[in-house]
Amino acid sequence: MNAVLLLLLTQSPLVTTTGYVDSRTTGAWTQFDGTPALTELAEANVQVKLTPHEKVTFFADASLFWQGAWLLQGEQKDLAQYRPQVVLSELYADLPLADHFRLLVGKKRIVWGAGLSFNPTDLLNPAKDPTDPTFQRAGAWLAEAEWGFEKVALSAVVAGKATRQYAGLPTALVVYPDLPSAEVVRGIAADDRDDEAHFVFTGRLYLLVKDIDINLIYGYSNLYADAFRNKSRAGLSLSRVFGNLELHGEALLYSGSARVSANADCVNAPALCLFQGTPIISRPYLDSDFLNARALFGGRYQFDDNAVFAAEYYFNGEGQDAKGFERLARLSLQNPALAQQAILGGTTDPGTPQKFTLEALRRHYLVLQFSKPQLWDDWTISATALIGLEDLSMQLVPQVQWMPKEWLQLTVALYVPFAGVPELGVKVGDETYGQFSLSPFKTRVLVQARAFF
Amino acid sequence: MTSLVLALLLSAEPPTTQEVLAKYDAAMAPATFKGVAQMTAHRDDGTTRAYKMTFLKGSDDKSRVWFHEPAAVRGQEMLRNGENFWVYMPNLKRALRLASRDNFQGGDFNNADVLRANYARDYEGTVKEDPKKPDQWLVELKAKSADSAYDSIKLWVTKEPLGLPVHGEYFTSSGKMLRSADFTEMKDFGNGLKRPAKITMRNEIATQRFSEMVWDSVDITAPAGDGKFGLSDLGH
Repeated sequence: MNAVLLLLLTQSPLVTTTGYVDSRTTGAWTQFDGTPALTELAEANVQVKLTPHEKVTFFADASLFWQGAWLLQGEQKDLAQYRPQVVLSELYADLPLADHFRLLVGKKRIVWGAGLSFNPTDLLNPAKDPTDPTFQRAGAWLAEAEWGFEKVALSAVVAGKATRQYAGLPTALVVYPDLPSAEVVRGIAADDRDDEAHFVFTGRLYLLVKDIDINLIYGYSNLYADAFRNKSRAGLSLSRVFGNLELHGEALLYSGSARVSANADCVNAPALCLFQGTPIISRPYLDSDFLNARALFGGRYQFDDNAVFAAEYYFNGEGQDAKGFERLARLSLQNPALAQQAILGGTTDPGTPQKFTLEALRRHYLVLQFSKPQLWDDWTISATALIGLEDLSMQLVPQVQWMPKEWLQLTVALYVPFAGVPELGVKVGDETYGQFSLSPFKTRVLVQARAFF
Repeated sequence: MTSLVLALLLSAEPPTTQEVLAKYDAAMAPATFKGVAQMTAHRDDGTTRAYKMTFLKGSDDKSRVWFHEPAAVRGQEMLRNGENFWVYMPNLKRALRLASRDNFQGGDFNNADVLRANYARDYEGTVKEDPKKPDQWLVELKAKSADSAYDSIKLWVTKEPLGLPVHGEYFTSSGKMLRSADFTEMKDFGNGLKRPAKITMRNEIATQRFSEMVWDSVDITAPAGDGKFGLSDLGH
């Protein structure tokens, strides 16, 4: 019966299905304990769009991940982040109730900013991989009302943080449940529950004026994706094409900072601080009233042979100065897992597993990307350089992609961190580290195969 | 008698450029329509890539495309509104701005060929006889603005009925031929629309490459509400 129903659904013109199966095998030269030298990430993704009525569309984008990690450095052999998992990237009902008005309820990734590698105005979604933004598909649990016209749109979104989830499905939204999680009961995770509402409201006014995409954005959040309470923010995003050149920029303005500050007395002895109950990390600028910003400016040029060069400068007002970064770096090098937990906090929904993640700890970044498709018919070469401008450390990602069939995509990518200028790095023992060489991996080779259906 | 009419017809004064282009646009890019087409890109190595898509044209300034095949691009959409082009990428969950001269899905058409077909507005030029093709007019066109798909075009159209394309040659500002096209397989799409169903666009730079666009349907009575041509509608 179910098979008949499934057959009817998939044959109906009102149902469209697509998806892929994907394998990412990574070999790495590691430098820290708890890091595997060989990993496999297999993903089965399905995207279903069901339109039973002209005013109702249901959409789901779900992935099942199987992960394996081998050749681990150090004593720890069971890494939670490499367990199988389900990720529900999107699941929503889209209700175009009138010609120019729609309601949307569920989980969806809504991005208004024009940036390619970073979106400073994005207050809703899990962070993306700046070297390959296509890998973050996950959105936020939200309700959106949108009035959309040809050259004007007004959107209002309210989203709640998934305070607890199992198998990709949230079991608590906005507020924490009364009972601690199983991990807390087992003593392998800290109990970070509170009594507050974790939400964000954000609205945008979109205008197409003189061929410029303009987004005016307002956001109000409370302990949603960062440590700010009752925080208002204002954003602006612009994009325009001039011939073969696209220029864009986006900026978010707000007061104070959620940046962490490492207690200088704990940097060299974090275990002692833990024992004494002294906070290792604090956020001293949460309620400050100085003007702060995150901003990105960039362009994308398409050559006549379809090659594309993109450059973006990212200013991160949450970044550390040299002293602050050095303290965090020393802390990280003593206990990477502890430092990560202290700096990032508990992230309930990091979205889909990424090839590369960046917690932007410094202020100035430059991202350069070059892509040359159809080098031969189905071959594409590309390279991304993510450069920290304070120490000139860099993550370089050259990549070769081949599509031997319309449904099959093969990729080989290399992830090479460079420490940058030694005088500007952090010296620990005989080693000098730049922010990108703090990665647990010295170099990684990723081999990926993706079959679409 | 028939030969007399034909002789008179063939020796007639050329129509104005605007007359020819108005007829061309009415056939090849009606004011509004919904259509389904398949584009097949033939590459250097002899292999092909096929794309199936639905078009919706709202007015001269607005058009939208939904891609259905192959699976790797399913869910992609393109939107044109005035001089502005966007592509919605489902794996990015957002739209990107495009240049109008970007290649259309890596084939030999460019975005403006497909989404900005309004020759009467974008080009000016002359109509004359071509002694080698007595049943056709040769229309030599120059772009009015840099946003047009090509800097100049030579277009051969039928004299009777007026304005249906037979062959086209497309040039850069330096006079280099970028593309040439053949318009074949006359088809009655209904509602009085009869025009070539197949366009073969040859790449004159990489001469092994060419792309074919075959229109399965063109419905000039389909509704094309303005709500479908806003950026916020992409991806829904």
